[in-house]
Amino acid sequence: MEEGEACDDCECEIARLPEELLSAAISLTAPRDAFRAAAVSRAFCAAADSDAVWASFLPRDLPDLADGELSPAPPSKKDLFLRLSAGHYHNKLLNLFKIAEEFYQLDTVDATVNLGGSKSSREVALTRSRRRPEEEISAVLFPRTRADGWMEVELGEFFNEEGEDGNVNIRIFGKGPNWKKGLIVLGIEIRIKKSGR
Amino acid sequence: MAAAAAEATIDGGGKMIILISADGKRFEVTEAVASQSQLISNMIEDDCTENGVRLPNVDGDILTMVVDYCNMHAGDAAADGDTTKASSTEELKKFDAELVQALENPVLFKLILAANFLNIKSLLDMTCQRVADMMSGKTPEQMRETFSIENDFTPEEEAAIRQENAWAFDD
Repeated sequence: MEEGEACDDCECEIARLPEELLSAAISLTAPRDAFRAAAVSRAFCAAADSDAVWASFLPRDLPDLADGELSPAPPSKKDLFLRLSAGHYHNKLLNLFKIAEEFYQLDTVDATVNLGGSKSSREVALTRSRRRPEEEISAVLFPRTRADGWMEVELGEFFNEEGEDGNVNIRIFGKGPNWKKGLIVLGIEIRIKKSGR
Repeated sequence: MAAAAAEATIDGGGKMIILISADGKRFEVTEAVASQSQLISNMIEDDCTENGVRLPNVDGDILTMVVDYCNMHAGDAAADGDTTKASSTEELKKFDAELVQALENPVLFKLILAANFLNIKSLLDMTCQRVADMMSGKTPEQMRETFSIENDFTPEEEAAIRQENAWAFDD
């Protein structure tokens, strides 16, 4: 324990409590309180960010994250909470997919994401087609190939300021009258956007 | 401290144990009362309470509260028997609420440390809950005030933490 750091005779100080006891107390609050506690002091930050605290906020029957198919497991329980939480976050949706060896009519699709009144729509590419001239496709978002071989592309984003309940509608819509073939979808991942709003 | 041998006396069939605080205060309690502390319960099992149990990091005033708490809750453990001593649930709740509400900060933290050291889970839960209640709904500034904590972040560090989950800091 670090005694005598803040004052000489810390009779009155909560700093007397070792980190695990402070964590035990913080884990009896709510996530919002824990976020705030992390801004109090260094000692509070360490206690409030601990796995002991965030494990208590996570659902007990948490399934494994798609058997590790999605992004690598988050380093801490707090990160896991942030990833799973549907709190007031600015979220982005990513489509995780592969293109089969045989495919056609899969260059770009319109993606829309909406929640309540907010809606984002954009054109995203599923393949890196070189058929179209640069200027025409400059507004198009291209997919990224991940280390695990799957591709991901950001379909859109939403900010759920209304609270935790609500339906997020996601649609990808291929233009044109032709048949399409060869899109293998692993899933849709919701990630919190780092940069706040 | 004087190494006076504690005389374990027999009282109504229950074996007595002497607890000795850091400042040498002695408390005579039954095994049933003392064994709510997992630490002491283990010592009883290991037969090493004959000469009294020294608790070098628990002050007498704190140990008084712990012993009161354990006396009050001794009925919990022996709940099956028709123990006339067993306090009613409501009485206990009232006792606990009054105990924990009356605690000033320094005493509260000492009691948490004692409950942790003695390993009395219900007392630890209750006192930690009190700290949690004191934090709930407060801003970081209010928490600092409540617990007399000095902000040892640089302004940049604090801003970064707030920025990360800005929504949590809206009022």
